[in-house]
Amino acid sequence: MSYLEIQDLRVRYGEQTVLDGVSIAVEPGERLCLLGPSGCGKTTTLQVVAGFVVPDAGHVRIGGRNVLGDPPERRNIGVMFQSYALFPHLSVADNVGFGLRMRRRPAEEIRRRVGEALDLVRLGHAGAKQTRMLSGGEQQRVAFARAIVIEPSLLLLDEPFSNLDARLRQEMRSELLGLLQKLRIATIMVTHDQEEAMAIADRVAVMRAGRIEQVGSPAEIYARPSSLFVARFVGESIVLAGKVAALGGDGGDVVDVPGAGRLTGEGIAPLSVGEQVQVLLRPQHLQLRPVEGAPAALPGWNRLTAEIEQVLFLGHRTECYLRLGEHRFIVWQNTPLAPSLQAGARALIEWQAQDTLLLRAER
Amino acid sequence: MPARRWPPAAWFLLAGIPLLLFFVLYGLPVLQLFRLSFDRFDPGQGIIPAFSADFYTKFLGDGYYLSILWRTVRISLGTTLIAAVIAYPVSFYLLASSGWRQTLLLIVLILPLVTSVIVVSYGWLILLGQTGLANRTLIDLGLTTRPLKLMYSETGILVALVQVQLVFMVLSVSTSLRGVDSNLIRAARSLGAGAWRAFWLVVFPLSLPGLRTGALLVFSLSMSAYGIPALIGGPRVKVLSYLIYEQSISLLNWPFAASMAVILLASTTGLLGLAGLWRRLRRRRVPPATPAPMGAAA
Repeated sequence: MSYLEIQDLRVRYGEQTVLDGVSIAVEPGERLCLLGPSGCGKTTTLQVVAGFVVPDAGHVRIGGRNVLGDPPERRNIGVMFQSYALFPHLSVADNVGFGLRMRRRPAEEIRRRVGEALDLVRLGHAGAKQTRMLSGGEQQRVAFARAIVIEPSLLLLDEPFSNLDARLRQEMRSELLGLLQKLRIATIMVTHDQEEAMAIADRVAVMRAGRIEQVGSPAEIYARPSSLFVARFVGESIVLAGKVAALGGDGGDVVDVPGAGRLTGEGIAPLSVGEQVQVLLRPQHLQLRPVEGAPAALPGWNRLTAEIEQVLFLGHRTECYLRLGEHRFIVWQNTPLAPSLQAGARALIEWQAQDTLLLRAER
Repeated sequence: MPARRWPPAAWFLLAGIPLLLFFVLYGLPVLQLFRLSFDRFDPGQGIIPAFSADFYTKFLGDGYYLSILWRTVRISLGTTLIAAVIAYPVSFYLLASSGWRQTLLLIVLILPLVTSVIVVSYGWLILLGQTGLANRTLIDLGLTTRPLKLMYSETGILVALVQVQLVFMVLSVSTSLRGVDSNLIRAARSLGAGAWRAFWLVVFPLSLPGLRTGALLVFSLSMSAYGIPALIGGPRVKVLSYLIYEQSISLLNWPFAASMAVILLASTTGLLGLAGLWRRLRRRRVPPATPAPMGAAA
């Protein structure tokens, strides 16, 4: 049995179904990320766990005990809000100490633990300050200290980085990861940003329309998405529609893509001949090569000829946009491009069959 | 297109007109009243121009007058307190509701204010009289055997003043509450505060500016209220405004009425000033850094 078990949660607001049977488990010390677009139910799931929303059906167990009957104040769950929700009338130290005062800890202990928590987030000097005098990043750290100083049995983070500017966001991402790794508290984080999710989480649960679409490690989710929705959400992708021509050939299944020819790839789920599939490619798996003087295609590789429409040099990589009939391709190349590969030229796109994912077409 | 800026002279004129009106229509009469309060009065001769504090010493040295001043203050404080206590649940309901419910509630709140005090008082006469609805209900419920004296009593004045002035308190408090992020309540709850403690430690302190505004309005309006105390309290339960009316209109003793008006003005502004001073002193005394035992304070 897992530490936190969420089972078949259902929430409806009037006619609208917000959660449609969400089940997920978190192990002790694990960091789970709920990832999805706005309105997918990720925040509602968090609010049910925190006790702010009562579900129409389902269970939430922490350490085997059903907590759905408990009001939020008796769940011992640390919550960090998207807006941080710092108490504006209290100093930084009083904000952090709030949970300990509610637990009626002795004044001496409160002072010590507040000091420790503030030191942990590198704000040991700021205890006397008013919260509105702090920068966004500092406010976030106060909110984090306030949530963990009560030694919660579970930590909930709601879009922790959405209120920070881009540069600070990256900085706080690694800082928060470091803190979470040090504290080893079971954590659920909600975000719509796949990079944040993958950077922080041990496991990512991608949500869509009140359901969990796929759960797995960031690498699994990225490399073997179970649906086009997940694939598109976790990274840039190229999608071609085709039909299965043969199964289990040399290095994989063979697909006919109208206008692009035969491609070899790997089915995520077992496929049958004649089935409609979607071929999923990632831009960084594709390589460009001049048409002239190219050796014959290697076994286990796919090859297409397409026309270059645009070349963008970005420093760390070059982005090429290509067109083949109605199909469009993006290639991210880290190595220098051959000089003949300019807009208007024709080029060979090559990639390995193992980097070609075949997904059952969605109806 | 560059923004058109008004010359300073225009600003001065713009502020000057209302200032002038205020001075002519309000400042001058008050100054005249102040001057009048030092005149003497003889029932046969009328007002005798003088510079004496006779009426002030008469008022402040007489237990009867002082008891009426104290009653006025007591009723005003009571009205403010009761209005504040009622205003919180009403404000929460007002903020939670929308559409026609919200409109209806606002109309219900404003209606007594725009209704003539005579109509309001007559309504309370029907409800609070010896055989009125309130007493009949209390007797039927067995809560009392003899009818309570609600009309011509301080209780009656209090009830009617609260009814009329509740709207000021509700509008100020709800404006303040609207600005309180509901996530603050959730944060307090998640940190271990029950609903009640979350209210006292987070919502209430953040609503204090609105409560202060509401209290200022309700207290000063109650101190100077005339119609309701006169009609519901009558001559048996006099308040200061009633005494002023009596002296000026019935007895034509304008100097005494003027000195009582000055005393009313001074005690109203004085009490409000004291409240403000106390708040400032208290704020200075509490050092913001120490984690005060807030749980105990609640």
